[in-house]
Amino acid sequence: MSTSRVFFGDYQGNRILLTGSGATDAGEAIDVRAEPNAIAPAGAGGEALFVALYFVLSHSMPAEITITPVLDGVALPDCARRITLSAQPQRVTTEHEVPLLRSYLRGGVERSRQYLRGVWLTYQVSTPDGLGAGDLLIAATELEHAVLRKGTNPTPAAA
Amino acid sequence: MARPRLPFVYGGGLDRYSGAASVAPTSFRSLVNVHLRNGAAEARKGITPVSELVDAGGNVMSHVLLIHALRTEASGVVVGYRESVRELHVFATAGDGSKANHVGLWGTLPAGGDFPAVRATEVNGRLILAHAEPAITRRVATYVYDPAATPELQSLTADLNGAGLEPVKYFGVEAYLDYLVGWGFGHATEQRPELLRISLPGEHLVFEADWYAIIGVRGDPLVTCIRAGGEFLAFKEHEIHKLTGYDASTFGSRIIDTEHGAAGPRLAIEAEGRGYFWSGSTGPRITTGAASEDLGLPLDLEGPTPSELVDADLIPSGFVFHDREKREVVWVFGRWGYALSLGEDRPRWSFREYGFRPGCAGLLYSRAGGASGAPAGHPEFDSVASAAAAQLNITITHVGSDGNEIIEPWVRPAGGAWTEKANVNVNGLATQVVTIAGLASGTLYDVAFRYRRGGLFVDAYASADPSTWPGVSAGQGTTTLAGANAPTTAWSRTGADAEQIALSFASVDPAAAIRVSRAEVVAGVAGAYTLLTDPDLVAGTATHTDSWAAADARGEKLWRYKVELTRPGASLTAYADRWAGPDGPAGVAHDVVDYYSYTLTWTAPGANTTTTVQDDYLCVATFASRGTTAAAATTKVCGVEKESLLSQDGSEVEFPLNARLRHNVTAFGVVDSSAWVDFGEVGVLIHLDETAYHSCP
Repeated sequence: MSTSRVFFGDYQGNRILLTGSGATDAGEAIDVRAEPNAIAPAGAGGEALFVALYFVLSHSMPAEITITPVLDGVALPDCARRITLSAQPQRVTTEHEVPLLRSYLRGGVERSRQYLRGVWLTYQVSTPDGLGAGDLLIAATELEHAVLRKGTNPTPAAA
Repeated sequence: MARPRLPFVYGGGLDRYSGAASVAPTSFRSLVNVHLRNGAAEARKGITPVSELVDAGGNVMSHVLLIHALRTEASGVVVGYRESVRELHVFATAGDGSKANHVGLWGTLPAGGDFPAVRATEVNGRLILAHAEPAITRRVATYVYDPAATPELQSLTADLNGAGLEPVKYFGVEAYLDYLVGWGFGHATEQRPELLRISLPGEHLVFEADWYAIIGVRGDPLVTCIRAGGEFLAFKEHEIHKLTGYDASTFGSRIIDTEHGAAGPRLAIEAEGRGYFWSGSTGPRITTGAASEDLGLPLDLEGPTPSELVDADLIPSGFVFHDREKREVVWVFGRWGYALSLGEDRPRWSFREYGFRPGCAGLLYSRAGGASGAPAGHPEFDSVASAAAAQLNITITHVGSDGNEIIEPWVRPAGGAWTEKANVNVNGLATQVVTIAGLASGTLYDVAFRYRRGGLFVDAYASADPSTWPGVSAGQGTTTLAGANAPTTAWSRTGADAEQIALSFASVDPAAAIRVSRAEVVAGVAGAYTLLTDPDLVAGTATHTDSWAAADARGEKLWRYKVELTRPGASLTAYADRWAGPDGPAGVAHDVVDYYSYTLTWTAPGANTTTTVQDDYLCVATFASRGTTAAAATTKVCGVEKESLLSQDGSEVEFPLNARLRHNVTAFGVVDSSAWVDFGEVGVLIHLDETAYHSCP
């Protein structure tokens, strides 16, 4: 019985490199990024209240995952949240709630917090600080919402 | 009341590892550095250097062009490039990519060519390497890497135009069924970039001139070829053809796609029975042996679009690989990779952004159990089992052998330069006699042995200088002296009072001194030897002359010359007999039985040579002369005595007698005779009442 592994050779260099090994690309951090197509729970022309995103993660690696909501095509870094994962001896599955709240500031002072509302919502996942050693599986993501005003063709995720 | 939740599709449920249902992922606007599997997105792991390419001279490769598995040895073969001197080098690695050992120089690229791309395929334990250079004049020859051969790298040759064996220069090579297929090469004087040449079945390195298929329009070059779904597919830039037939008389092709082809020699691959390729500015496509289909690369995926890749000139250096474990086909251009996941309900795309620019990718295989990669044991020198003039048979003891190593014997004349001799496979027993041939006779050799597997060695044996290997694997042996040293001899008279015998030493050992002695031979027995050379003739001497005067009374006698070759540890003696006189008659014949006479003929002698004939008709074993011919005669009729009063009436009987003859040569006023040449029995017709014969006095 043999096992197969993919190896890379340097385009400019003399190294042979084993893929699927370690937490960096020969010292360079790996940034995992994902952004699904946006969904419109109330349909185009409708309006929905976006309450929270729920992530089911299966991991053994330590990692900092940044979740940035994208509302009607506009990324909202002030609403971004970080999920911190600690190293685990074996892969564990955890669920993480990312509230979709936006603070309302006046004079630098938070006056209130409001859920995001709009038509289309998606999010960006990234690991700007790189990954740790181990596994990380983004197993599931769900959006909790409430329809405020129905439009046409409410869109669950397209197949 | 709980608010509803909507799934984002890769997040529709728990992953299968957790036992729950999953929902297939959908297209993403961005999906970078993940593997798609089982309805989830898994962060890809990193990439770790495992070895570096440095040639035997300590020179660092500037590029890595190819990584290819040699599955029969669970090892890898890597091609490196030194751009500063335009050299292609071949390296062997373990199945885990480690221990990159320099095998040798493949070739030096002529100036002016494209940045090199190479293709390889494995057949029957060998890796065939082809340089995918469009210009035939700048393409280096196709090479065969055979880890069991000596040398391990050899040029592939074929007689493709009746001009004899010449190096073959294929643009690419691919194994197919029991054939090796090469393309892009007619022969040394004819460019045929559209030609597909097929080896004889089972004889992968044998290409006949008429075993080929013409693919499409003549002159339109083939770009690459792959196996897919049991078919052999040949790609041009805008066409795909399928090879048909099974031998020289039936090979042909059928076009299956008239619009799309492969954009580069490394951009098509077979995965899970289908062919995947990148077609110019339209991007990735799939074929199952029929017209290709678009693979639907999402236009809004991050990274350059196919047409942008063309604009950025990244296509020529692009390559594709198949990750069997992840079930992905990945095209790589620069630092970007387009990954097609085959493990979902339908092919799904994701994107890769590498932390460095890969130049090539390859799948290597490693076996469990330790019988792959570098050997663990070593051979120990035991003894010289036997020796001959040109070879040594050395007994070695196997220590820690897995049974699948190759033994490298190295030899050098004591203190000289090491050379590698023919490799042999380990026999699987405790000891083995290794024959080292092609040696000089009578020479003391240093010998050393090491194991090799997959081009790899135990660290202590990794040096190309056997002097540095552990001493238990080294020893010495001496070949015997060559046997063909009996000298040739020639007598001549050089004056009225001077004769000589010249000796020429054939196959003289270049390192052995020569000693010559002489003894008279009487009745077949040599007497005491007299040393003729004191001191010995120096090694390499080719001739020696033994001369004398009449007073020495050495003429017309038989002499035996003893030639001794001597060197420490070995000696050889050879002999040659020589009559001190001219050569005797040659070509003697007697083919007519006559009435009281017989006739002998012989090859024409010199102008000053007579011939004397004797026989024993009158008295058995006592020869009496029948006379001497005139000079230069070639025949003599010899009549025998007749006492019978009968006349020839047909009642005669054949009577046997023995005849002999010799030449007599006159030179410087002296007659010298050869030794008698016994002809043997001749027949004459005599009457039954004849009384003259056997009438010894």
